[in-house]
Amino acid sequence: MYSLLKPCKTSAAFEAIPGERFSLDLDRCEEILQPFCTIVAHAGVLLIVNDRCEVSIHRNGKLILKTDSQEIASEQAGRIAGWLTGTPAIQKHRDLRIP
Amino acid sequence: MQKLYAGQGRHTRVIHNCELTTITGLSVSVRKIISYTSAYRASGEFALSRESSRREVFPAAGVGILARLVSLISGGIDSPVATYLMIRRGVEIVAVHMDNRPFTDDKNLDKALQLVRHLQEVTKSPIKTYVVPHGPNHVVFARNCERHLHCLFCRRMMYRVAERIAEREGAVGILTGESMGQVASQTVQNINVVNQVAKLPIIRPLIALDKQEIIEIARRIGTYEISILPGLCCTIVPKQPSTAAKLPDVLAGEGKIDIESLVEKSLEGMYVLAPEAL
Repeated sequence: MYSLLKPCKTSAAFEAIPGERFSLDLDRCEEILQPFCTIVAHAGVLLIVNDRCEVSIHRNGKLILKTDSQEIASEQAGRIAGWLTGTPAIQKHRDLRIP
Repeated sequence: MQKLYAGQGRHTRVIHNCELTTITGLSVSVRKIISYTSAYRASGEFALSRESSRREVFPAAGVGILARLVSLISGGIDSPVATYLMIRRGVEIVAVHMDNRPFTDDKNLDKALQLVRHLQEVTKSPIKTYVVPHGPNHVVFARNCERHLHCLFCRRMMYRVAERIAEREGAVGILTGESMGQVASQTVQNINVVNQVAKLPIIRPLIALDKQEIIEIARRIGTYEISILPGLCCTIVPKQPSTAAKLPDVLAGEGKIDIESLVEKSLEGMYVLAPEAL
């Protein structure tokens, strides 16, 4: 699900970039992730959860992983991808064009 | 040629332990001494610095204070510079850090507090610091208001909170590190929209400086190295923020939410750090 993990602009966190274009339904993400993570905040445009580290989940699927450790960031991105893959929270862009 | 930084006041001191000599009654031409030392003229007294690298001269803290201002301090480059410049002019500072977590990270708060501590050390001026939770306000703005105006709602909320703290502290204005056009919320149009929320004057000593000039001062006073430490930028900034917002649009957005209740909650959640606690 995530093809690129890179330090963010300020080197304070890591960014996980999705390998393909999709949208996330953050309300559904919140429901799905609730049993696994602490929901820190849901601002509509952004969902923040806490598991191995705090993660900001954007509607375009991008993750901001607030940790200095690439290992933790990579593991956390994988965990979130695992929980969300195959759920209705992920809406592929081609699906969105269907009337 | 050395740069000269002069202020007003009856007492002087020089930062960073440079050697200081006070000579009463000595008449000195500032133009002549500028080439080899710093000078500070006040009531017939001149302070001559013989230190080679640091040439700046301060009015002493607690003496000849012109006013008390509430300074909005982030973890960035600009606000510590603005604060430093105003302390140098004899202003007493009460610092306010708007804590954007969870939309930033812990490092930003750490940096802000480090910067205040550094300013205290450099200027020998005690600075009381308020830390105000601002994250919950972002959630309300993002869920209820127009996305492209988010930064304006954010800044107007900061000014509201700062003004309430100013009332509490007997401060007569709000100090910010805003610089013209540096980010979307700092265009003239947006500054105008933000200004409308405040009754107290907003002091912006950096308004006409460009980033490089601000960085040069930050390097000189030692805040730059702290400001550029890693710290997550605000993650809830819209992709396309408005650069020329109109006040009626912003007021309409704020009309959808209970602003006063947000201010009260922010004030209830804030905590204060005494100067010696930093």
